Amino acid sequence: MTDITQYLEQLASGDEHAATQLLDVVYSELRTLAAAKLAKEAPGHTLQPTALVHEAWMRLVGDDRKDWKSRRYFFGACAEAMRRILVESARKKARMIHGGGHERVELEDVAKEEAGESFELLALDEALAKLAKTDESKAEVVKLRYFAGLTLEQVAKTLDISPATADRHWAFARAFLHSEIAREQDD
Amino acid sequence: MQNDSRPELETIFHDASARVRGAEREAYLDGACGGDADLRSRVDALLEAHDAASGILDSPAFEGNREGPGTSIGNYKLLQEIGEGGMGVVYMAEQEKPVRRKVAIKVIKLGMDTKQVIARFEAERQALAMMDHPHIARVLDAGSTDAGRPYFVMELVRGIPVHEYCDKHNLATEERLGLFVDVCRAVQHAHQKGIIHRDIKPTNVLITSHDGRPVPKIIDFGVSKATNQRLTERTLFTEFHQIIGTPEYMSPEQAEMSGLDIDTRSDIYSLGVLLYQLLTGTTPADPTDLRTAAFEEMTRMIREDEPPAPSTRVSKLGEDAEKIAKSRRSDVRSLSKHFRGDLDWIVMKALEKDRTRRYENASAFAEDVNRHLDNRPVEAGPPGASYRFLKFARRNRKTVAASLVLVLVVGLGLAGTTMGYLRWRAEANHSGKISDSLQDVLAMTDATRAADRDHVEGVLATVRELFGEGHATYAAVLDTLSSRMHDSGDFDTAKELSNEALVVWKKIYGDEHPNVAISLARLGQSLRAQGEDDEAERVLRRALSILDGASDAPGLAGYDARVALADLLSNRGEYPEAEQLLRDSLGLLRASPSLTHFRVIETIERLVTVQLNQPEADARDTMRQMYEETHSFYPDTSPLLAISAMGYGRQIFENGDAEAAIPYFREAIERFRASPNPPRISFLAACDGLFQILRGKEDVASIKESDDLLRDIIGLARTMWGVDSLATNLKYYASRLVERGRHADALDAIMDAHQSFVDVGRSIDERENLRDNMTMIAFQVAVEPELESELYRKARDAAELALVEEPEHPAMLVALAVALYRLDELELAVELLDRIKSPLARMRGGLARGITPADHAFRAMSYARLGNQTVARAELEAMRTVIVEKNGDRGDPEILREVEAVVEQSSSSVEGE
Repeated sequence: MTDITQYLEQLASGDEHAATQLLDVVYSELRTLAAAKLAKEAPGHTLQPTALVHEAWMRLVGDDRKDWKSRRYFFGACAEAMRRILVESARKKARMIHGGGHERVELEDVAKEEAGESFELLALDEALAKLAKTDESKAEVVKLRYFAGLTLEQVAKTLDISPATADRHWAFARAFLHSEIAREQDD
Repeated sequence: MQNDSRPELETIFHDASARVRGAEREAYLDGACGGDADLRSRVDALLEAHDAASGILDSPAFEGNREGPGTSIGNYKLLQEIGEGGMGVVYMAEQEKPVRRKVAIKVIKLGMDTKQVIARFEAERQALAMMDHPHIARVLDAGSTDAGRPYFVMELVRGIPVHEYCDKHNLATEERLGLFVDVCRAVQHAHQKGIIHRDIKPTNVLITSHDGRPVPKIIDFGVSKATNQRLTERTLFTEFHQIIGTPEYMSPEQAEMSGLDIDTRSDIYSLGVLLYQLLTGTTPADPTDLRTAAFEEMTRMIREDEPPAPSTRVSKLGEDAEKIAKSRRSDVRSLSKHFRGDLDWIVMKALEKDRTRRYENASAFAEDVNRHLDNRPVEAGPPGASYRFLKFARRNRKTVAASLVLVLVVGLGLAGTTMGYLRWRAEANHSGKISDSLQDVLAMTDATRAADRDHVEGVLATVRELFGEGHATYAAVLDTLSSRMHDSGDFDTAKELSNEALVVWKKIYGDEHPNVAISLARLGQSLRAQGEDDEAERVLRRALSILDGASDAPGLAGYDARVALADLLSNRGEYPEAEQLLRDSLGLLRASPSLTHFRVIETIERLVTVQLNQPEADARDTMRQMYEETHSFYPDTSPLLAISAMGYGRQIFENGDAEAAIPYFREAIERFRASPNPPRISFLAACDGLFQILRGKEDVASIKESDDLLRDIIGLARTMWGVDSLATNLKYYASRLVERGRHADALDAIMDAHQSFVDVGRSIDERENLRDNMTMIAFQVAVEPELESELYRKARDAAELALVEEPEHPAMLVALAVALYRLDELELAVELLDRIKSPLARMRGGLARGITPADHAFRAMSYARLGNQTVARAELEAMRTVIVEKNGDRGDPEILREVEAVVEQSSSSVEGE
């Protein structure tokens, strides 16, 4: 509907309030898409974030709005939405592994690997929150790259920073997050 | 890490990571960190993580692993790669459930629309399942890999391609023909089930050995149709100007892409090529010639060149001829003689360019081969004179070579996937057709590559070389690339390309041609994106004036320009003209045969936006269109259905027809509730709309429904509202709940509101009103006799919370005392009540007025039950006085009877002692 285009325009004109609303719409759209895709596919299959994000863009915004300014907000919202969806599903998995779920029988076989990934993702999310507190822009780079599946070049364009800066941000953030995760695991 | 923001940490990290690990880095670190051990240890940790080979972040979340031996796809474990072709890679794989068996899995290369591939496969699945033939390998399953590629699971055939087998085993011509008849029979079986192969070639006809006898197996049935409607062409090019497959087996009609449906006769042609190859060792069109020819020449060859008859071909093979004859246990002369007559005619009949002249089915083809084997006269014969004339005429038919090239290049079968906005080109004139094709090709190229300048230059160079700079095709490519660059945000390059396209179009067609207008529209969009609105407006208006003047402008040509101009104007506040442009665009779309719902919806959205910006405009009709479009286009679970129902409902409501809006709001809410994660704003808007209508109604059902709506509204809006709106609504909700006797919920709501104020750090003074409300509701609950003690505890907690903030507030003391009394904490109740200096009735303030004469009432009851009849009776009297003052003759409150009963009962029990 008009919601999304309006939010994008509001954002473009500096109305930060629209960000929450944009996120809402994008989040629900991605959830719906993700759920629809997951439902159709065999267990063990996952999603391709870029495809999802693109599909969401097409459905919510359409192919005529191509300015990067809009994309910036949109991808930002997508990254955040993907993060939430992933963390949510990782939490769910983690809970089930602890024995909380009803599907424990199947889970025995579902591969410890997947369990490991869930915990790792949760650890990453925590570390990312930590990074965001001290350095918002680096966290932003990570979100776009990791959760929305953008290339560093696209990240640079989206955040309106130079590719060199994006590279540096990424290198530092990656090191920081990995060391944080390692530290947590040691503790 | 406490000081992660230390700026030197980052600088040192970058500087150090640029240095080689070892002494050099150590030396740098020693110097940079000095004696700061803490800093040093943190830099070390970062560097260690930096140097580590891999981690979770190194591939985007959710990106599936690349498949390969050792990994799994669905229930299949990949064992080894057994082949790689133009379409993808084939693996041998093991299936574990439901039966353990080995299968072949073909994973299609990226670049195809997986959903469509699978949809096409599903459409044919039943037919495929009915295909049961010993010479056809079964297709078992299809799906999509983690990375989103389509894959097909097939019966595993351990065999080698038919031509290789025949040569390897030196099969004589008769033996080859025998195998070929088997192949024809299998193809016939499939055709009878309605399945066309579309990609018959030796590598798809494998020979396995059963008890020493060769058995052919045709693979890939169903795969080609699913992966592409014109697969043979698809195998030609994976990308623009890159040949990876073989065009030798493609039928002329497949090359032509004239809109003719590919039917079983296309398979007959391919069978003809196969037979030709089995006989002569070469294909009718020489593969080397085909590959070295320019595109143009190549398509011409496929469509027009009459291949030499097998006998002629064999005699002209030169050095190779001996070898070929030998592998057929023959010599060149006898082989050529053997082919002359029957076999020449049979093969050439199958290879007719005109499909109506080929064998009508595979069975007839097989029969004719059998007749030859039985030395009976064959059905095929030498072509007659009139027939030769026809062929000549066709060869000289005026053709646009360029379009054929593109037709080929485009054999990408994009039919359904191409971007809708290119569709109109197909409606356009001939040059339009060219660009349609080319644009399709370019649309196929990977977006990230196309966005790369070098790639753009490469494509342009190729097209220049093929057609020359002044060619319509070149201009069409420029237009397409311009829109690509625009998409990727490179507006400067997009403008450059559009301007160049304009020059070419103008040179070919003059200034007033629709193609000029289309490039102008393209240019206008880039100008607009860069904020050059005035120039954009000029260019777009010019485009529209050209199109308005052109009688042969394609139907949708004016769409892009109109929408772009409408956006521009609406941004500037010139709504009425924007509205008109959008209405016209919508009209164009609806009149177009290539109507796409998606674009219609998109245009309606714009129209709505523009209308909502004009207070006097009535958007009802537009919203209704939106409602209808979304409901006919999107799946039942799409949030867009709910959103459009909400939107339409609101329009009706705001135009004054509340009753008519109700069903739409209800639909929206129902859909939102069913959705796992509804968009909150729209959900809220729907709930709010319905609530506003229902709150005015007094029937029980409406009251109940509006209570629930209010609850939903608060839940949805919690994070969106400011805390004041939240608290106000919670208060309102709580008061409604008290009226319904839903005490517990009311208390929850009011405490929630209070907590929200605490959370945002509102001061005690600012919380006064909420505190009063909380006290009042706590009192209203506590004063009711014979409730669950859980409720009294809740009321006690609420009153306590209030009292903590204002420890001597008389009304709060009373409220708490009442709750404690109900919990049989009589001493505590008395203690609190005794702290009040004067009766509430003598006090000002709404709270005191609301609660009086509870102070007297509960003191009376508490003292009575504690055995102090004197105080109890005095309080009962005081209470009666207050009631008279307060209520006049409006009757006694409920509580009076309770007090009288308690006082009476305890005095009698005292007297009884």
